[in-house]
Amino acid sequence: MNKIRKGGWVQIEWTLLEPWERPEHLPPETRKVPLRMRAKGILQEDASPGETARVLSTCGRILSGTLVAENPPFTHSFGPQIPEFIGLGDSLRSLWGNRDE
Amino acid sequence: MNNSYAAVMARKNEIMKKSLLMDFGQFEQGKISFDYEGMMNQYGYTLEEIRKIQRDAHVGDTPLIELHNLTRTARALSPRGKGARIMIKDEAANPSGSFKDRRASVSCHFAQAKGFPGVAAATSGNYGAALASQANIRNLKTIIVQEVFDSLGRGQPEIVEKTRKCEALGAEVIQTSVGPELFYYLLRVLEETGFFNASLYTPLSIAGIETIGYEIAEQCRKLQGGLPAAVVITHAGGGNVTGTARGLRKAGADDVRVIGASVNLEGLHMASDRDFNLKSFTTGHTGFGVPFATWPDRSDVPRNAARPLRYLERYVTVNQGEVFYITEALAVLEGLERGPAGNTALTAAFALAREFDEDQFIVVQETEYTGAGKHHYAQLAFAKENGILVETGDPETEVPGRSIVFPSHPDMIRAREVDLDPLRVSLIRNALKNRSVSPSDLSNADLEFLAREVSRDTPFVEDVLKSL
Repeated sequence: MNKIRKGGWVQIEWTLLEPWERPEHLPPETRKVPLRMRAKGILQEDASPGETARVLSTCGRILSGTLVAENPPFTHSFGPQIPEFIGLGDSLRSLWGNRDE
Repeated sequence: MNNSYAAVMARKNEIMKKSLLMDFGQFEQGKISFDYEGMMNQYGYTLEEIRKIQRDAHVGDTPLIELHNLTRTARALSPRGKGARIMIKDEAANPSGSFKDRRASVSCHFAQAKGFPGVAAATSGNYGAALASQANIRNLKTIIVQEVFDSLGRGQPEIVEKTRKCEALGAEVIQTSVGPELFYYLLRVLEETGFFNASLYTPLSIAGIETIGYEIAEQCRKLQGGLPAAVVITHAGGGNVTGTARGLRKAGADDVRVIGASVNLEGLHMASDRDFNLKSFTTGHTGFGVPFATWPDRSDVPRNAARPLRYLERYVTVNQGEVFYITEALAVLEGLERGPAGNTALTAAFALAREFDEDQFIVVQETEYTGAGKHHYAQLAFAKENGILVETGDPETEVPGRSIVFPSHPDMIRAREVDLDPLRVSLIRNALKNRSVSPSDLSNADLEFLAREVSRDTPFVEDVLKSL
């Protein structure tokens, strides 16, 4: 993996609570996995993805965790149109008939 | 310092005092009662002062829009003489795109006035962006703790968008996997930074929403010459219902019916890693609406300022497919592209309009912005990826987490009545259980408190206590 230089804007990930540290009232499927955390910040030392790294957060806190990536993009989208909704406006207007608004 | 889960949770009250400048203990009265109105007035802001704070921060005074074409459609499906006009308060016109700016505005004003360096909150909703936006105006820093992804690392698109928006507004965002322990992390953040605790459930937050109810009454009187028959409110944590209803009362609009509406997500557990990405709505749903109504103090502050059963006169549910359908109808009939979760109350209103007379009108009290991830197309695409059947048919057949059913005819859209009495019984039971009190321990003050909590008289409470 390519090293990311100190000063890069990166994402890190870490475990906040191991399964046995989580509260008892959680559903079993949640309690059997750790509580994972992700945050972004300015990388404090050169490091490669997968290595432990420290970052300086936006509010000036030092956070440490496993380096995930340099400035990962947002990939959420609008998705495709919904074929079932094509023509919905016409079909609703066709219900109006002669009654006053 | 010991930062284990147990140790931090044990310091909760002390952290709350410092981060809210509020000692909740001062309001405690009997075995289970507390001085709710005393707590609501503790920070000392009047409604007029809050309106000024909001105007200075570009919040509120949003347009009240008459939805002529949706009204016409509802009327076409109504018996003669029925079909109230439907109006909507376009809260998407607030700076960050939702009514949550109202909640954030007062907290940020207070935090700035008291010299806090920043504000922090645990929220996966529009509130994060609202807080970041209002904090920027007040030169405060913001940390948002968000529940975003499941144990496979897959983010809910609607919440990923909320991360993006918070970051776009300059906030520090800490993302978590599924679990209520984000509040534990928030406590650590508050302790470490000395930031103000801008919880959604403080009196400041609820006072910020009161202006919406007040504006509705004012706008209706001015533009329509009178008050609406009902205000329909999307109900989740209870703040929206509580604040809006209190604002209506402060405007002397006591006779306006307060109707809550939630998306039905029955069967999906809110803290389940498995169910997390099977939900196509991340707020405005029964998974918050019912538990917060029946035990408000489950919130992240010792006493929740949002107490919906004090104000709800009716509570209805709608289905996911119906809300997506009405979201599309709002775009193609009214030219308003708005986020789906905020259209929960609109969907209920579309069904409820048919019960009211055609010379009446009803108000839906919010819209929210839409965008990548939270748009209904994005949520439907994500549902299909998660194996959820998306089809057109009878909405009654929809099973949350398994199917989303668009109505094959708008006539099939229903506002399904939730009987409030079992919720009232549940609140009373929880009030006793969570404080380990038995009915015989209760004083008259406690009985009167419980009566106010469920908006009923003391004989109602006494009957419930006998049945427990």
